[in-house]
Amino acid sequence: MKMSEPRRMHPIAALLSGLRALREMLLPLTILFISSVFRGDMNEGKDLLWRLGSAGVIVVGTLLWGILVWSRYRYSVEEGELRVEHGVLIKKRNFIAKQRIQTVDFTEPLLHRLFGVVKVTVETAGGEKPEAMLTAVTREEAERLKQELMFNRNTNADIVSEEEMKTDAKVRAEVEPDFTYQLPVKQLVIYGATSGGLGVVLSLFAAGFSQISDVLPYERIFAFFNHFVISALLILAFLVLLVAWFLGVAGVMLKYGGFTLTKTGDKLLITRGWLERRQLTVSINRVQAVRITEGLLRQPFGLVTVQVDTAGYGAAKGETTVLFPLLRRNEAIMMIERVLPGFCVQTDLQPLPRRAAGYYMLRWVMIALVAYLAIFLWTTDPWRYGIFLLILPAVLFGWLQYRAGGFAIHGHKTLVLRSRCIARTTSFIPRRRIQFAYLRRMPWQRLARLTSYVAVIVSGKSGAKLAVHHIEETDGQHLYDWIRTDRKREE
Amino acid sequence: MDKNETFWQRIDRRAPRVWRLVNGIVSAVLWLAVAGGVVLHLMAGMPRIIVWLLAAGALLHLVIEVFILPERSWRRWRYFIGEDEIHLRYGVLIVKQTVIPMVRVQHVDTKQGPFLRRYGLASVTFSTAAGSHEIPALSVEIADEVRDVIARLARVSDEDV
Repeated sequence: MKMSEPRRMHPIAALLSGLRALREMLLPLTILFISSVFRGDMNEGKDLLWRLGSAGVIVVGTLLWGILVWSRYRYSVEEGELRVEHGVLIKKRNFIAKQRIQTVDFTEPLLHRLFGVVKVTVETAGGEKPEAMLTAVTREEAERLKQELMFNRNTNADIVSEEEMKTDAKVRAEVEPDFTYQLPVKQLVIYGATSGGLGVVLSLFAAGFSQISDVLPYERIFAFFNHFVISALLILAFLVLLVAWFLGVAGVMLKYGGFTLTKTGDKLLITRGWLERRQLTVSINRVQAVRITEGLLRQPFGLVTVQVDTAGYGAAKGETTVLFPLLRRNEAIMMIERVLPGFCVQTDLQPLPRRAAGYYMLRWVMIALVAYLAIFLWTTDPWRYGIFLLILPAVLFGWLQYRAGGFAIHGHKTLVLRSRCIARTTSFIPRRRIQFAYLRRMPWQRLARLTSYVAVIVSGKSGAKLAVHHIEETDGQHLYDWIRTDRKREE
Repeated sequence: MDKNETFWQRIDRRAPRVWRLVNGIVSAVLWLAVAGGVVLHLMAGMPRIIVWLLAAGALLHLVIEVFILPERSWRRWRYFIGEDEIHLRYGVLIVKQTVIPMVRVQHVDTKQGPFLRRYGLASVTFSTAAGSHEIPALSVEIADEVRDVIARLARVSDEDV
């Protein structure tokens, strides 16, 4: 069959859109049904029959509606455009030029996998939502469509006959990808186990606490509480945290199971997910920045995650795409080099000035003090003085953030920033990807001649800020001046 | 930045007046709310503390936003349209200095709300792929000139994001 002939999706799409319509109607229907039950006389057989009958009519109706939607949905690739025609009541035609198409991505939710079909999402650079969505087509058809839309831009689909298509597809299938990476199962398990950073810390904390609880003289402190009740509560809290953590790990493993990254030409293809399988495409020339993230639990083991910011991709602000879920720190740069050559540079970062440390720590101490003030106003328990000990973690965390901070300029091309929110993140930003940059000085920073530097890049549908706080004013000015487009040097 | 100090431009001297007018209207609304609070206190027995808090808030807003900030903010505001980039510097407490490479500018506009129009002023807005910036309150002639200059200098860019 020629690509240029208008085609329908896989018939399963009819069922799927019918089911979707049914699901949307489920809530109002249930409410209606329950309210009618409460009104009474359910036991009259005739009434029951009538009710079930009407429910049946609705179900059959929505399924018929699904068939109608499916039969009206036609797509084709003609004259270098993807043409979609759909709509039951209002007919819509959507023509998308191949050149404008950024990505053709596949998703396979559980139901789709049962039937061996995939959902295809076509996205362009602009626009808020996917430009076109095929709810269900066979895998072969999806692959063919993708080839046609993304890699076959210059040939005219009209002239290519079916035979040629087939041989073409074969030839293309034989083209080896330049690079393939698969996440080993062992790494996946580690990735999952270290993913819920805070959850694990909390559950360990709770575990430790439940041990101490036997030693502490609870009866005296909480005279009004039963020791047994407290212990039971703590154990329960511990169990809840443990289960939450376990579910989190399972969720991450299902999401990233079977993670595969391949590079073909200037496209990166990511496939992942055990239950719902997703396939997404990243155009290398739209990558704006690379981030190497070291989570709290991963950093001690020298493990990192590699993410990229991509223009016009991802739903939310600053949403990044995971390129490598788990790598060793020392192999990360090498692996990135194979996928995004010349993007990351190995360079020593300049640490922050010593007097910046105080600012980092002071910030957390202030937050802690506000929390204490609230506690002091709220309770008169003598126990509250113990909370002052928590000022130590605040100082420690400020210190860790200070230690993480750093920056470097590599020649005329790359800016490297490192900072810690909770995880330590090292960002690599090509100079030409910086949309704008600013220096920000707080009054107390001005006293110490310190400044914050922020570079703003495109990420997803809007911008992402990459910052390093409390650097020397002169260094900030240096970074600021570096952005200037020096045309002579660039040409 | 210091070596270019002479190139930095101020925004129009009438800017504080516009800001004061706009914030004054907001303040009037706040004081109306305070009056409403007093009425509620007398008629419906709303606690007096709420009225005091409202009044304190309105007073704070009046002093800061109407009397202090407009003038200070004008005094700090600078812009500088260079050959290859635009610089902005503003902020009373938190001073922000922004550089926008000319090649990143996608779109430039002048805008004039009813308040700016009253004083014969306009603002220049220009956008990049990651967000937009504004030079507020320039006289209409200067705003048009600035817009045209940016449009001319930014046109050389044909780079994709």
